[in-house]
Amino acid sequence: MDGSVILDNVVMRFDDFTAIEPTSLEIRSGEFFSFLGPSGCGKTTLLNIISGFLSPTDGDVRIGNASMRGVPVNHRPTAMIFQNLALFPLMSVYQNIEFGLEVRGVDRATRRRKADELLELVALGGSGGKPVSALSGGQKQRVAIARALAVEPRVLLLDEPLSALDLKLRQHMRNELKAIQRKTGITFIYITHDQGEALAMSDRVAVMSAGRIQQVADPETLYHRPQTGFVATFVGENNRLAGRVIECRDGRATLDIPGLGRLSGRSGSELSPGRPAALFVRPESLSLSDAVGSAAASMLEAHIETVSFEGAWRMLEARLIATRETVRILVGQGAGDVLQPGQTARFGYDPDNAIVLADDGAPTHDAEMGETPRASSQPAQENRHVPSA
Amino acid sequence: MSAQRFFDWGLRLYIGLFFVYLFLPLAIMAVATFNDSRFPTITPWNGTTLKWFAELWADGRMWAALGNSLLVAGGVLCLAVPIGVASALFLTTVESRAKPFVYGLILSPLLTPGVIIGISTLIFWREFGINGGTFLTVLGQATFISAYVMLMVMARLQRFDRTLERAALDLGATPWQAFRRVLLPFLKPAILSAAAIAFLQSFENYNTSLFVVGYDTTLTVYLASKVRTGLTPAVNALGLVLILITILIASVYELKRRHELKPKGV
Repeated sequence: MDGSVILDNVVMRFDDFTAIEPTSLEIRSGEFFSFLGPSGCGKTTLLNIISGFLSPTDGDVRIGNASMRGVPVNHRPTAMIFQNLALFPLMSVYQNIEFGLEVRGVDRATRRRKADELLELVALGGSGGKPVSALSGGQKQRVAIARALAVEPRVLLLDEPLSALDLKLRQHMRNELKAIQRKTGITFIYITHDQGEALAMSDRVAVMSAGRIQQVADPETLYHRPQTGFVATFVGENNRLAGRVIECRDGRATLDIPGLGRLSGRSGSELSPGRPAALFVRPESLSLSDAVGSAAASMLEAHIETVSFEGAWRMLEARLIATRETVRILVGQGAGDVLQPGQTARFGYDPDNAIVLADDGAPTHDAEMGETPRASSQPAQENRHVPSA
Repeated sequence: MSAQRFFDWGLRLYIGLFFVYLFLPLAIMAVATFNDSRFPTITPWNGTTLKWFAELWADGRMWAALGNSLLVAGGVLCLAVPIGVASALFLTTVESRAKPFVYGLILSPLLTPGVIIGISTLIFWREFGINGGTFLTVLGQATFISAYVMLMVMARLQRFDRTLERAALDLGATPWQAFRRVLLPFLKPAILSAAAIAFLQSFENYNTSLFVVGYDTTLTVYLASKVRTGLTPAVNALGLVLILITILIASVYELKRRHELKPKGV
């Protein structure tokens, strides 16, 4: 059963607004693939194009190598799990799960057998007779999954289905979704704005911004080798220091950053001397200067503004003395204990842990989001970023 | 504390007065049925009798009018419910520039005096050689009763989660299956109450019917004509019978509703 999905030059325009720039992409059969991006980036539009709720302005979608042009929603080998789940409120759990089979004319006994199997799969055995309203949030989630799997789709489309759950349940359901995907071998296409979800579950992730795919890669690569400033700031957290390229050699790039002087890092994209570029250092790659110690380390002097306790570590917000830019630094408990707001400290990083990316004027995540609160108390897995000065 | 008590007593008094205002005329009417008097009154009390029920039973024209009223109400249901539901669906689901026009068109009979609807229905159909009668009564009443149905169904439709329909399609249902299995069950309570309202609206209608009934007199038109020739307590007897039937239907409905509310096993 070929569950591959190929987007062949798909374009979506609404009047004079282009929701999806020309996009080509191959999602492999049996893959857990995520589209990750902020709201309004076009990821839901793309999902609707794959499911058939929208026809692309141009281009073609092929599922299992068959063109979906002119194939209506109800004839596509896909099933969708909606953001609000969209369980039929007037039907029982059984009726919900059997709906897709019933409209296909499958007989009652076969339907019921299949529904019982699926209820076992999602660990809800024996709940078939309950009305949907009697279920908890997590149980509804499972019924929605079972209902979608009942029609034996080649591709399961998931539109931020975990966003309504509380943190604990969300993390639990991540593991469960991943387990169900492995067991069934169905292609999962997952839409989310939560990078934690995307990174934890996916085989590959496509990061989207403004109707364009920025990078398609496995989670590790996205995190360690982002190709654009947007990916660097949207996936995980990053400090961005903008400057101009001075030299590029042996996979290293050195920038001249106004006020900070020469700083270098791995070169992550096509760079040439004189061009604007930015250095990205993750909060966990910055550390107190004593801890770095080596001559290779580059130093930054900053004034600590806030220290927030986050369990095993502390997040510092500090203002660079030279440029007045805010940086965020993650420090372990030991080092964090001695640091207080108001102190000045020197921070260093190993250039191997920093990346230099061309600044081609494309929006970074920061620029798109605008001003963000400085002393944030967001949960740890949420995306954080440094406002660009 | 005492302000609270004052309020409580005031509220009780108000509710009491309201019920007296509502039910006293009905009570007097009901009691007058049993008065052995030529006129429907309770003073003077000439002695208790059941003869007005017998007279009611013997009034053939009244029964014909009642039968006709029921026939008209049935016809109005068959016409107004589909029209009302269809226009509600059109106005909430279809993207069209014609929407404000259709909305205005369906609602305009509600804003038009019933008399005008009656007269214009009569004049219009006379052009085609059709005179007043049951057929025109159904048409005339259905024009504005459709609007009631539409408003009631629309109110419920606006609370419908459209993703449910999308989910049904996504699971392989045809648009018709999605409508019948998902949307229609959701609308059912609204359609049933709209049908009940439509029935009552038709049954009690007088001003439109007056012009279009022709010889097929409905109950309201017949009763009004009796006012001119002289009312007898037989009319009260009819009123009492209708009240009892209403109470019976309401009780059955309420019992059924309570039964359905109970949790069901599968």
